Amino acid sequence: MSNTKVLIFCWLALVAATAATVYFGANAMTLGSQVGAVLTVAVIKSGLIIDGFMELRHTQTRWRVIMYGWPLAMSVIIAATLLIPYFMAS
Amino acid sequence: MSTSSKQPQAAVVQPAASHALPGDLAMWIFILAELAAFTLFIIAFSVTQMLYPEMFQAGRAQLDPSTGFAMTVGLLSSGFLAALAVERVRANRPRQASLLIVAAIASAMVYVVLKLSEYTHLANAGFDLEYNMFFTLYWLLTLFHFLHVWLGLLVLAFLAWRCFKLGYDAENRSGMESGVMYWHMIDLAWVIIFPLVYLLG
Repeated sequence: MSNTKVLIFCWLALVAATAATVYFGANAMTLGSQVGAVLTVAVIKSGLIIDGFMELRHTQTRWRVIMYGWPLAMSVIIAATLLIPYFMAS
Repeated sequence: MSTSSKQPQAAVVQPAASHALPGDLAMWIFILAELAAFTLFIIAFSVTQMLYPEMFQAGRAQLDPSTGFAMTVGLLSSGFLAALAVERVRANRPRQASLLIVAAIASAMVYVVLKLSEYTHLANAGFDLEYNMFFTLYWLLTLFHFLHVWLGLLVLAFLAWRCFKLGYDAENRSGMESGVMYWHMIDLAWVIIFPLVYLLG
């Protein structure tokens, strides 16, 4: 697949994923399910930017690990601060 | 004479070389430093939300997720157009890249206009920096990102001008790639900030 086609795919996937994020955020589900769904989509979106727009899929693994590490670490921090009080209260 | 006839010609698009980072290494180090700064704001927001969940729930109710959706699509579309512009430079079509960068700036202005309107609405309603902890962190985190967007727009404007002057081509594109990588970093930060501030909790 040409790089232009990859970019178009990433853009369409990012718009669809953003719509999914808003849907999960507004949906009446348990906090655990909502946090899991929204942050999973956020990490997928980050991957589309890192590997698609930034083209790190062509480069050394260590740079991909570093760049993927940021959204993963942020998601773990956000999930922990939201869910630890939720599970302690229930 | 058409603009395209003035541009250097090349037969094929050269993809990013395998194992090579797009742009300068210095830009990637700068990007990591910027992400570290965003990390501090995100941790501050998350930990304070853990301490005052009801306050954050009430504060978040003043924000409109559909506006956040439109802002996000504006930014991501801008990133897409900027990435296409890099492709055009690799194909030795800098004038086409210049047009794509201008389109990227226009798309990013959707975010800027909506964000300014949200800021105005909140400030007029009294939800300013001192209203409570949620709004203190909302303003600090989103303004920090907003300032980065403005810096990124200046970088994109410079890239558009440089491409229009045929300053980049397939052999000389490191500055172009570095500027566009910075713009993608701003998208990446927003992809995490958006659900944290507008949706979760």
